[in-house]
Amino acid sequence: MDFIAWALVALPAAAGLGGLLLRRREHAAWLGVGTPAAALVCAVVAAFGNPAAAFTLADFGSVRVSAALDLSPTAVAVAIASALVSTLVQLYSVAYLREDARYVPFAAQVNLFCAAMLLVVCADDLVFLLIGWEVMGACSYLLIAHYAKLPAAPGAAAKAFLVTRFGDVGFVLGVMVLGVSAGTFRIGEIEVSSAVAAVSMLLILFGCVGKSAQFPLQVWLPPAMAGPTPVSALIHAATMVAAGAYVLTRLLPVWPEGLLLVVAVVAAVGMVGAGVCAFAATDVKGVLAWSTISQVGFMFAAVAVSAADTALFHLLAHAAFKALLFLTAGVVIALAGTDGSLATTRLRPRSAPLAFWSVTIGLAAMSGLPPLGGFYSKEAVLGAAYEAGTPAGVVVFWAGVVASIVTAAYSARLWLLLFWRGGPRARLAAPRAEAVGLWTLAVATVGTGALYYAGPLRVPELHLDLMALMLIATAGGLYVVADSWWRDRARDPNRLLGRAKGAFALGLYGEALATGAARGAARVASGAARVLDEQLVDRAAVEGSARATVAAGRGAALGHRGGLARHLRLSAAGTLLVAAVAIGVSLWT
Amino acid sequence: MLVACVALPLVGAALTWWLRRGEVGVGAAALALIAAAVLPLGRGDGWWHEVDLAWAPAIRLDFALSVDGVSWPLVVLTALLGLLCCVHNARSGGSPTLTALLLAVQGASTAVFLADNLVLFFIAFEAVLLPMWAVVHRYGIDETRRHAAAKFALFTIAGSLLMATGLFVAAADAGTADLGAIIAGGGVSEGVSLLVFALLALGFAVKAPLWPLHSWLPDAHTAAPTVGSVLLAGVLLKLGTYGLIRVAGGIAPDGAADAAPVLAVLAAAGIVVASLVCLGQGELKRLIAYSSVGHMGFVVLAFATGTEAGVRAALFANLAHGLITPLLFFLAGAVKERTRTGRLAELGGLRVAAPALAGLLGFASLASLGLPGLAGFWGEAFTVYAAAERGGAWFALAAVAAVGAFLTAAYLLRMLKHVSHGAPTAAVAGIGGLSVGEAAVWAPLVAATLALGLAPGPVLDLFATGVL
Amino acid sequence: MHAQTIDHVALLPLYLAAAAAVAALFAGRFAGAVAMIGLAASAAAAVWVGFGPTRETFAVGQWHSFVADDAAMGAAALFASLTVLVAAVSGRKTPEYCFLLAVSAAGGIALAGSRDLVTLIVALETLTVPLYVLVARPGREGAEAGVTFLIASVTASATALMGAALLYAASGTVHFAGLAEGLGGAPAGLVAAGVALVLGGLAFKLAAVPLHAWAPPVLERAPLPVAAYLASASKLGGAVAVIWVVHFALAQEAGLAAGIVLSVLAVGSIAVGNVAALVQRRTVALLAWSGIAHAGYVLAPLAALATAAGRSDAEAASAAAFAYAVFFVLLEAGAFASLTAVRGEDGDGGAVADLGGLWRSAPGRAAVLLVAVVGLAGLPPALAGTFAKVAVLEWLAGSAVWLAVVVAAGAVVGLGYYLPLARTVLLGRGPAAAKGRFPVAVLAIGAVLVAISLAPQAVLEFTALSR
Repeated sequence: MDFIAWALVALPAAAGLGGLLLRRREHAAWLGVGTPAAALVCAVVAAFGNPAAAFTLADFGSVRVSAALDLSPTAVAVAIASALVSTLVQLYSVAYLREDARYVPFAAQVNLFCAAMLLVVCADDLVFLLIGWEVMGACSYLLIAHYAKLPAAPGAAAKAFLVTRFGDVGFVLGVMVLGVSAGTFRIGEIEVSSAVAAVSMLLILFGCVGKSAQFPLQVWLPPAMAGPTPVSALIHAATMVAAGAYVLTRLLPVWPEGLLLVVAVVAAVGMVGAGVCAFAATDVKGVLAWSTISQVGFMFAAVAVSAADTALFHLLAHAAFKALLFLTAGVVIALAGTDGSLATTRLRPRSAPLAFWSVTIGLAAMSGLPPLGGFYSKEAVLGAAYEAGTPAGVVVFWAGVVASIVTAAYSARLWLLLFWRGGPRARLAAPRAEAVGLWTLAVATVGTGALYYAGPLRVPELHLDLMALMLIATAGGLYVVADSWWRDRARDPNRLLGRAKGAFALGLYGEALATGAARGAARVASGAARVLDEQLVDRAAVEGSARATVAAGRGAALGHRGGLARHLRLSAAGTLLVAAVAIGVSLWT
Repeated sequence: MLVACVALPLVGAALTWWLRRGEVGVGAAALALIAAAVLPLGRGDGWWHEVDLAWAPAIRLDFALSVDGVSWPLVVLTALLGLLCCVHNARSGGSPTLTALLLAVQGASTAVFLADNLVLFFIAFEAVLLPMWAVVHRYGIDETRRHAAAKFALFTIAGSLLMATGLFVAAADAGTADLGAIIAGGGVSEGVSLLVFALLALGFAVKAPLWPLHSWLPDAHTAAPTVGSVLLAGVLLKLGTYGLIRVAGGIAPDGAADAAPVLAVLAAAGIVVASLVCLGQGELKRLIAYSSVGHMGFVVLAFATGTEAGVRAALFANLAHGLITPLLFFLAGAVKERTRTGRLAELGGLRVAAPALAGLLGFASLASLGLPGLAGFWGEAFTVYAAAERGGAWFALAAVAAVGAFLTAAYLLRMLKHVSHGAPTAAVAGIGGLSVGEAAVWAPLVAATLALGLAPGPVLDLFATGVL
Repeated sequence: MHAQTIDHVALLPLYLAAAAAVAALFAGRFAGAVAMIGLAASAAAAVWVGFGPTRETFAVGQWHSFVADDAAMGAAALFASLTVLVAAVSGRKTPEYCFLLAVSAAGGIALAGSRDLVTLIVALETLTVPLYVLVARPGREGAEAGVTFLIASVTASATALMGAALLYAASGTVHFAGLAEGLGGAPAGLVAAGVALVLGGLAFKLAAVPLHAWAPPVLERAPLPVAAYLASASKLGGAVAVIWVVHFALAQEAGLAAGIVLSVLAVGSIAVGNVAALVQRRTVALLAWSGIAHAGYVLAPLAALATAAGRSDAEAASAAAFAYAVFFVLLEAGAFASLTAVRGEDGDGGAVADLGGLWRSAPGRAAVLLVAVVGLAGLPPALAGTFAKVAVLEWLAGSAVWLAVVVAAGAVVGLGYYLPLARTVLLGRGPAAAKGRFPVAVLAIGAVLVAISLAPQAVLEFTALSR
């Protein structure tokens, strides 16, 4: 059984590294689809045994890093979800990238990413987890920058990597503080004083905020849509952004009670703010990106009320419907033949039935319509908040209600704008490989509801009053949009936001502010450093001393010019001076 | 075997120069690598092997060599880099004299790592200067090479003579010049410990380099030929840090503890200043040179914390830097050779024109910024750990180190954006791809970086057994 | 009257050198060969006497005026050998030339064994007086150089004699052993004045500050072989004189005064010599100024006597100084010999740039020149210079760390001018059409330099002075 645990991570890792050396497309495709599938099989098998394995990876004397895997039931569930989404994305990509010359490294990088995500899910040692955490970030960078012809892609990739790296400054510091205080990095064995726990958890929270694109580090996710759509589906929907929430659930036992309010505030801002931005966004993938931020905020909210399993439940549900939505978005954009902006992309339900029903199911799940998984998971979050009774719970509860309204609103907007404004009449079909992915995910989205009853997660009881509140909220959001639509079909419902619409579409200028601030700071700091280093240290001190020595040499050579008389005067004066010094010192001592 | 490690490169150098055949040098370097690789066989506790021959007792000079878990990885690294440089030089049709000079540098450096006598250590340290100066001066590729070579020589001799003074004060105090004996005896007496450490640290700080004594490095690297930069970064810098950790830390531990805060602050300043300068840097080799200053700042900071984890992290980061930065210099050299320019503004779109080369450049950059799974991570992360472990004001230094790691990512990504991404510029378009020979030369470094990143345990255990 | 017993075996090297001088005067065409053979025999005799027991002669009571111990005989052998080398690179010279050279060598051998102030100064004069003639080349500039050297030398001798007189007044004797005991009770000011004047005057030969100004112009204008002699054997004479006086006479009771005087001399020489050499464009001038700096390095270990730690182990101070002097003098001899071989014995040093391309046109001589220059800089692989610096730094590190730092700083500046010189020889492009003379002599000195690089213990053993 231990072997299964190691194979789960090692197989995709080896395939990823080896895949970088391949040349032929077919080989890369087989490796690309087969390996996550094998990992999926391993994960399913592991569900029956829940293996845990460890050996010492690095011994630093006062602390050691273990390569420790712990496939608990929740971890297995998330692993299965990740492996499944990876397999489907790889399959989808075979068709989506059939004209791309650089498919081979793409497939290898996706495999590497899959290995990193599985490592984060299964790791039981914080530094071992950190390895997967950072490799995910690196793969995300490589994959976003995939399109060589897109000028925005490298900048977006660098921004993604740098913002998450910035968050990781806090993450690494937090992990190290925990390691120093607890003497170990094993998650299960960490016991520290509450002061240390507070500091380290806040630092780690900063890292999770960066990885999950929550406020205030959300600026990298919308531009990251410049990557290929399968990448967005895998990384920026189902796995990496959820990893931040996942790690928080793993470390929940270490959190000091009162501090969870911070998480609640972060989550609330994310849920509501990102939702409004999704409502204002002007292209398909942008709406989905902002909605991802909002939904991950839900996961953070669950963590804020100490409901770890609830957060994971929402994670699984979100993985299913968001991956479905992103993959379908890719199909929709390809079928409509546009660049993805909402102004131009439109299809008829009859022309592309698979796409239509996939989007409908996905959006319905996202809005929380029963009996789809999203309904149960949102209800569970609100239920946990209600039951918790802490200030964090209050914040989460009301933010959750408002967010439900907004979620319903932007879901409805997207649905109406995509499918109910006319479009090409011809019957359009997606390629087989892509269709398989859509079918599977649609089924999964419908099926996650069943997890509430059958799965390994401990979720709170259903509250009828909360269910009713949620349905009312959802209905309210739908009604607002429907009303605006009914009044004037030609105009985009986001005019409800009035003049703030443009600002929200740009994320309240958050991205521009961040970029400007970062560039400005970099320029100033870099300039100052260069002045310090090149002018002061190098020119003034080092070369200045060299010049002074040479000048002294010229002075000495000049001073010695002149004939014999000069020499004699020099000598006599020198000797007398020496004698005087000698006499003086010896008389004095 | 120890003597062979030192003698083979030197003999090879002489033969290569005399016979004017580069292949002789390659053969000598290969033999030296084998000799270095078999050193762990049949080893004892403490020092693995020892050689001790009297040479000039009147000045306390013995030809005493020894090896242990701390110096062996560096010896192997030196031999490996020497071999790769000789092969690269022979393949690209370089002058046999350059191969001879490279082997001379390798031989002298190996003698430094293996020296067990303080006077021999000094002599070997000085012996590196002249061949390296000649490499930069004669075979450099820039108009500034004369100035850079002179700067390198003057800085180095100033540092090494100060270091020598410190070594001799220690020898006078301890009554012996045997390095192992002094370390085993707990170092010099307390009164002179700070003086000895200060003198030694000054000397090694020039080599390491520690900000602000680093000004020679960017000029030297920019002007040196590719193989020169590789040896400078992979071997010479290691002389400084090895000296700091083993010699300075070993024979003056009290002084090291007293002076640690100063070292740590300077190291942290170096990390930040070097990273910030790199952010605005416009030339490829100069950027990598400044990145070396930053990485060595991590090594010195980790050593300055004085904890066990810190020392191991310092040694590991030292070794990792010796693998990654030479790889970066090889790649930069390949790019410069093909495009005839090193300016970031004139490069672009490498991954379209030469995908394998760009891929390797990305790999090396990710390794340099400390991506976990590659060698650079362990040293950098555990420098943060070691500083946090000291607690108190040292936590601020840990935070500075973490921010420094972020800045490293920033400038390396900027470099990749300019060089690798985007549309191919005029200089880059149409350049040749990776050749088999080049890939063969770089493969050991790539493999070692990956291996050390995934399995740091064995090497860390080696360091744990060292005589320190 | 009771005549002094004279141990003639102890004086054998001196006799042989004197005989060589006289024979050369009458040997006509074979003067050079005769002088060389005689001096070689003298060197061999010195080595033979040195391996035997210490011989003391010319006794006055307890004290002896001439002692032939290891150090003295080593120095004597060195004087003779250096003179052989200079004679070898002089080409065909008149018998008078060889006579004067041999007399100078005899003076050096006498200097090595002297153990009282008068013998020392007389021997020093014997070493110097022939050079007055040899230095002057025909012509106006040559005459100027000769007169400069003469007057400066006379002034220095006068100063030294004055100092000797003061010391005699203070202690009642001129013998070193007597001074060692007698200076303790004398007035401090008198002793200090005497020490200052003696050391200052003797430092003239060594070309140390403040009596250094003669060296660059005189060396520049003298014929190259004579310049070689001045730079090597004559400097050795000065070094031996100072070291002997300090070690045998002053260290015990007047150590502080000696140390202070020598500190000023040493630091001044290191500073002025190195800094002025930076701007020199002519080879001999560069070597002359750098020689002044090296004189400072020779005096630095003795200067450590100013500290208590230094005085506690004064023997080591003298040993370090003597070791440095021997290594230095051999390196200078190598440099000048190869320079003479390249420029011809009638030429002058020329500019540094004139040496460009030497490596290509005369690799053997260029190699010896390079080894010498690199050794003077103190870098491996010319280990002779490295060992010299190590010897000095080791002692200073244990007694006066500030002086060690000064020496280190001086060596750094030294590299600043030695490196361009080496670079020009090795890598320069240029006209250097070498004359290509004297291959054997250059090869011999090169072999000696390599030998002492590999086996420095040979030098270090006989330089370890003991009381």
